Amino acid sequence: MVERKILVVDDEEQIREVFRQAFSKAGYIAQTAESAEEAIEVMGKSPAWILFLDLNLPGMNGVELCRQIRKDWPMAIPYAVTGYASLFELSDCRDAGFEDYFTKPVNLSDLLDAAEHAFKKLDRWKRR
Amino acid sequence: MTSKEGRQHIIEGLEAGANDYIAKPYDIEELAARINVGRRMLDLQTRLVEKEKLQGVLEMAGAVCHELNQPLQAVSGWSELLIMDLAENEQNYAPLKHIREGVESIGKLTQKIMMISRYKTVDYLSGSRKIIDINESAS
Repeated sequence: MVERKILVVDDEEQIREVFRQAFSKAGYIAQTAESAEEAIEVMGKSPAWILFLDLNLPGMNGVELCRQIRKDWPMAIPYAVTGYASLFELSDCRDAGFEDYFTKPVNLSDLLDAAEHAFKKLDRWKRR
Repeated sequence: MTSKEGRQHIIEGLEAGANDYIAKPYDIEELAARINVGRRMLDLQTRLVEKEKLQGVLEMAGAVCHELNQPLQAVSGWSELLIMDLAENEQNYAPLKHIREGVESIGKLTQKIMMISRYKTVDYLSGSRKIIDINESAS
């Protein structure tokens, strides 16, 4: 079984905190970062398998961050969570390597379902 | 229309706001063709104004959705987290459920605003002003 580690990247503190608490409550180890640059730093020290990335980040945006992560950690599964759906097309997000795409406000239960599903997939890959 | 073909008169007329001119005695077919030119110009002007209005609406919609969805996510998330620990008969369950329902309605509205692709208005305050018809504009 892969370690149940999740990284939440969002520049809004309240959103990071509420997602972190929801994942912790569900038994995951949840880390947070407020920018793409910090996310790469966190991944370097303690890589997460599942990531929830805001797209509209200061500095490097979420789509660029996703490309970087898929390049450096190809087994990681990133999800996009965006406040403004038209900022990037779904096809751009899929192209960058996002597994799925959520528009804020998203139900925590939907994010928890996504995490559960992704970890099941990772466990299956790991058994190969 | 002008019966004088003098260059100066034509320039004066155009400068004063005329879009075109035709010299008397005029040919009826030419007049009809020039009217069609005028119609095309009017049509282009109307389309340009509509396009500019839609552009304004889209910019506003983008700003509203971006600014609104962030705090909405926090309210939605915290209320969902709180309600997870409550049984239906507990004191705060019903108010929290109302908060969640309210957030959900606003969330649906911002999703719809993000889908706006046309400029359609609807009368507001018995027609004294017009507002964007979100349902029609986003369909």
